Amino acid sequence: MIPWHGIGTRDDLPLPFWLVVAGAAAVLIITFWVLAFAWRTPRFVDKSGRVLPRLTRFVDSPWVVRPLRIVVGAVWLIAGAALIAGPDRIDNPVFGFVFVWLWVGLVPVSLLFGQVYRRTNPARVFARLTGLVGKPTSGVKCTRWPAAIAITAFGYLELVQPESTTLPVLRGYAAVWVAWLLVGTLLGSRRWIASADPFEAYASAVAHASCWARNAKGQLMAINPLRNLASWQAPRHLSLLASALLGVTLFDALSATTGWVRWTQNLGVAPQLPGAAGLIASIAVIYLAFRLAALPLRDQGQASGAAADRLAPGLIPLVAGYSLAHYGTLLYLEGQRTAFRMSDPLGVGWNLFGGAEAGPDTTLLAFPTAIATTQVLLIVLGHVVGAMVSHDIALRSSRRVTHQLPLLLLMVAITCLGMLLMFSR
Amino acid sequence: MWLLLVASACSGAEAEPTSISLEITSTAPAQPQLEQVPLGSEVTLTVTSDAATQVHVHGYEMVADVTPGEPVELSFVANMSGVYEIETHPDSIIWARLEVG
Repeated sequence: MIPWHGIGTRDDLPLPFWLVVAGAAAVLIITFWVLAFAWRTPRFVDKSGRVLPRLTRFVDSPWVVRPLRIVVGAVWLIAGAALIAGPDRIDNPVFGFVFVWLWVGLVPVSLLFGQVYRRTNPARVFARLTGLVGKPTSGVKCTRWPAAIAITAFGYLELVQPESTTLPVLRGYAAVWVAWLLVGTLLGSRRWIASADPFEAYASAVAHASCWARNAKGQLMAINPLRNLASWQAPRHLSLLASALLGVTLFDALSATTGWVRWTQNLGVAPQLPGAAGLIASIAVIYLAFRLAALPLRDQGQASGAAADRLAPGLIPLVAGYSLAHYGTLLYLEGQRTAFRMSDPLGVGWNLFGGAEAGPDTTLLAFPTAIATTQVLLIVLGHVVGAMVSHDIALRSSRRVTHQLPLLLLMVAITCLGMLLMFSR
Repeated sequence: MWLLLVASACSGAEAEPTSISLEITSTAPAQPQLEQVPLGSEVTLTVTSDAATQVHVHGYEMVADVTPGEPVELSFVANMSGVYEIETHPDSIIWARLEVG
């Protein structure tokens, strides 16, 4: 018995040992360089960049926003129809839509195009169309703990929940997600969507690692991604959200190792119990370690939680790099399959977009060494960006290198653990 | 990166054929058998079973019905790298993992 992990029909090969060693060495050397020899005064405090008024007018014009929302909304409607009325088989496109397009795809989309998920979030479009609540509150700092809970629930669905690729289970979770957003928005305001929608919270955090930002006047700027992250006035409990994202991705790799599988089988209890415990423990360990590592970087009189939240943008590149490395080939292969299956969402023989009979392109899979190298490069790149952002934020509280040491060592540990889990079978 | 692409493409072209035999029994294996297959190799998978079942090679999407006493042969070119499970339906037991690369 092997537990279900991912909707994929394949796993990547374990990383070659020499690549893991090279990646870990690069991580150590570059982190040490950032700590000891890079800049000593904060460089990325202000959110500034090249202002692009013409691009802003184009992106904000109704002729761009409306078609974009209509296209994205149509895709959600097709997936919703497949969820409600489609066949209960793995070739129902809703599974690929949720676990591949949405959960994995939002990372590259947010990195390339910035806050596009927020722009096209169906929950926001629905709230706007129905006039559900008053004016959207923008620019207000809000919290992220509801999204952290929702991310944990999604992690449970993806990695622990038995039969998660069957319609009854997915319908149940989708209903809870809709109720979670609807009730919160009705009781509060549209701000709840930013705080509680796991997909928007994830996407908008990753979008802060893109090269797009808006200034105080709302104009688009081309910005250095390091500055974009380091100048982010992070919302409360962002550290909890980042820990949940890291915990879910690390637990995904951990639960796929033979050691974990054998250990849980020998326990003699339902696999959901060690699964849920392992998932929550992964998140809790990362969160507590991060809170501890942030302690020396408190400002005078600042609560330790606030210090951790301020430093949390430094964890986002780790999440993004690891997600791309771990799920990149899944997005490539199953992303194509999902696109083809969208042609016949109800399983009745339609061919809406002409893809029903198509087979996926598999060219990339002929190059395993290139795949493994890219995976390690993405993890190392995510770590380096994260370490630089953390260094810059940390410098604002303390110029002493030793105060940053616990934080950067924790990041090294997380990155190396991530690579080790992709190396082990 | 291009060097890597070319290097791995070349090594794949000269792979030797691989034959794998798989025995489906009434008890599930403690651990799926691990089969390493060079990329580009032509794989011949022979499946025998002591009960009627359906065998499914994930990823390559090869599916065959097996009847007791009659070995079934599945052939395909292992041109996609990765780890692929060989599973029986409908009991969802994983019998082997193909490691192509």
